[in-house]
Amino acid sequence: MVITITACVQNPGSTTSPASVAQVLVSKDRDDFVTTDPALVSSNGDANVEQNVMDSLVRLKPGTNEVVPGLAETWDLTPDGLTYMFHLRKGVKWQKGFGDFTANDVVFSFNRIIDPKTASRYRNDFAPVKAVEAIDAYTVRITLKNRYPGFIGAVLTFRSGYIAKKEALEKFGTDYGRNAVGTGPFMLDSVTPGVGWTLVQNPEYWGPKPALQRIEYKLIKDEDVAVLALQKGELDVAYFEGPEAQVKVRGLKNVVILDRPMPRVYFTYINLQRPPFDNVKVRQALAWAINKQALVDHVFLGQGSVAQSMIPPGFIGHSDEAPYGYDLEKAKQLLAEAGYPGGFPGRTFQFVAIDVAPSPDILQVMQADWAKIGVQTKLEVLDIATLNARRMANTYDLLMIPFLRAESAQLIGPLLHSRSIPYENIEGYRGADDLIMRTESEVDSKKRSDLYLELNRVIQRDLPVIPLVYPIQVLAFKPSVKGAAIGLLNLPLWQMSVGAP
Amino acid sequence: MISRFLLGRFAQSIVTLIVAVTLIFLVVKLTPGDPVLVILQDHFQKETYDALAARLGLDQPLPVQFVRYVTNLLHGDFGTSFTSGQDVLRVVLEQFPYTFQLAIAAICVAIAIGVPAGLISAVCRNTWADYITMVTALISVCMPGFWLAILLLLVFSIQLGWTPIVGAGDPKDPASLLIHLVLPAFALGARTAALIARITRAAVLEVLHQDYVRTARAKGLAEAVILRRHVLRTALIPMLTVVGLEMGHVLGGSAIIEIVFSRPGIGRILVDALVARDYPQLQGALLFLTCLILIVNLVVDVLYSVADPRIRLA
Repeated sequence: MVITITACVQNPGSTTSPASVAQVLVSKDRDDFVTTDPALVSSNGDANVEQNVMDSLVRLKPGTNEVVPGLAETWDLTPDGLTYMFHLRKGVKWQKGFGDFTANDVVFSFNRIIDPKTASRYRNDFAPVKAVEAIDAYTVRITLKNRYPGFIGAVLTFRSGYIAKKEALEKFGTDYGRNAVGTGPFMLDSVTPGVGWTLVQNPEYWGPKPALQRIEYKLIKDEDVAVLALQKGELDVAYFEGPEAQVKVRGLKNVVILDRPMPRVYFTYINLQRPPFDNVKVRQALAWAINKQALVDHVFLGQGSVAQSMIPPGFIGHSDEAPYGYDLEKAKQLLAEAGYPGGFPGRTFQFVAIDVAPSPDILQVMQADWAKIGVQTKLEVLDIATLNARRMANTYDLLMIPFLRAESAQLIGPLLHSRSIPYENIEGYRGADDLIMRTESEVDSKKRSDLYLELNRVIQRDLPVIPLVYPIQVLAFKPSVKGAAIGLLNLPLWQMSVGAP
Repeated sequence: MISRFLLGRFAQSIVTLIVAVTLIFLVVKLTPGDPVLVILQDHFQKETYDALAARLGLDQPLPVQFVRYVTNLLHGDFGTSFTSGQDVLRVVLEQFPYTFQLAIAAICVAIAIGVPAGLISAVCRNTWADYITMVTALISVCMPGFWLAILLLLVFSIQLGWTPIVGAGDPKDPASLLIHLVLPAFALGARTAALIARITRAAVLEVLHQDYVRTARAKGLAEAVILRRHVLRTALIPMLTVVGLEMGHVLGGSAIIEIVFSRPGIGRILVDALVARDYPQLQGALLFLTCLILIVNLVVDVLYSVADPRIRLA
């Protein structure tokens, strides 16, 4: 999603900093902004508005993975790691006259996601939760079924963790998306479907008043067009995910660039249920045959780094250990040891990926790499619906996808624990269940980190997945924009302002 | 005569609509991909999947879904979008004005360029003017619309700074709407202009050799008068057919132009709904466009019969 903030001059006598108008130029997703309903948010457009209009119990400090207070001033965790007690801020007002924020709002919001009738895609995130209860008007108790130290970072700071107001959902119904009600620093002012939407400052916000008075978003689906718009001055700030656009925007004059690793890893699933990929030596051969640096240099145009771990940099458990390099002879030797000297002549494996750039280019590079060791692949680039259907039907050998999550626990467990068979772990890996459970339940950060390192080694040994690249995210903005930062999964507009050019 | 003609065409349109409703329903439903999985992506348990499928009505057999679909249509209910939860018709009607503006502007551009170009080409047959016009028309037909759109953006919006890059303009400001329409309309209308130019050239050439035109010249009428009063009126009749046919292309082809210029519109709704397998939205938008094209063709037929008495009496 590309967001632009432009300046509007306030009243001459005002003591506030100049207000700005932000415009969203590019939406990386297919979707326009639709809703801030935490049970239903899906696109980047939804998430960016949600983060500025709504609030969560806790949030991530911009630019870091550190959890800081939000609607909860403090919280406690019992020694057994099973019960959180959140002590809520008092005096927080819902927007548009919907009264005071209380514990009942939290209970409603989370239980609604847990309710199967809501059919929320985030219900799985709350699977570890046993109960959400209001102890009093400003205290919420969340009881877990098992210890899950990643719960706060994984669930409560991300999309489903934002709190919704029951009365607002009931009043507006299917129109809630255009009448979003939160407790955040901004309010949704207007929505023009297919064009853009506007946020204005929330005068009753409980926290420090943002400098920005007004933010206008423009919906721009094409990042190249967004680069042009930034160049022409129709945008003040824009966020870029695609490597080509990132390179182009770096070449613009009079534009400031910030970048940081994205909480995303591009990796290849290997379908362990389809021979010969049930043979670990075959999988290891595939890993040795991929020139990951070429992917970074030529597909990502330098806008990324080689990945050896499923956990991106900045997350607990990230490892730089690199047991695999680019060695075709080693790959051929492993294939021979597996009983396939010369590879698989006359045989073609199905290699699928989503049709969003740069996935098709990644596939082509890997196809060429694997052909050198006698592994021929047939590439199929599919839209998301068809890709999901293929996954469910389990009719492929290899699958390359990008994966984005807020916390390490969400990156490994859902993909590689056997509990996710036959859904997210369709490929059927069962080799690290115990270790995964221990990483999810260890409350001591150092021990948890050590467990993740051990888990990394197991995954690298068994290779149910081959991590490929960590992409980066780029924020480009005019020099007049101050306080710009890239959050883990957000753009903290509430700390931005516009100064003199 | 006209009434019987119109009634006949109207009846044909109804039959076409019925077939279209059925085909749209089947083609959309039979497209590979599961909308429930698109919504849930990789976050789901079977319980959630089943609940969502039931809520969206996708757990019913196809014939049951079809009957419900048709029954709702007869009550004016196009359904609720899987993605946004909004009423499908409301979403389409909100964005239709943008597509309508673009389509009309593109057709106007096409006629404004195509007719004079075809006329010049025919009158100056086998001269440099003719050759240049026809080669330009050929290039325009072959040029991908999105390529032309990006080229126009680079030249007129970036290099020259004459036009904005994104958006549809302020709906309350006609000047803003117009300036935002110029490049998209040209990009979308270029191909149609080329077709009109070629059709007009062929039609004018045919008419120029008719006896009545020779008679008009023999009577001493000025060439300009002959062209305007006797030639163009006849030669433009085939152009009506082209406009009617091209309206479908313009409406459907608006999607890529809307994406390049970041304009809202039905084309974008169609693409987004297809990717998301948002069946109601996709069916609703397709049906709306179908009705629109049927109406346009009906109007073209009426205008055709007004312009050419031979059609009326046939």
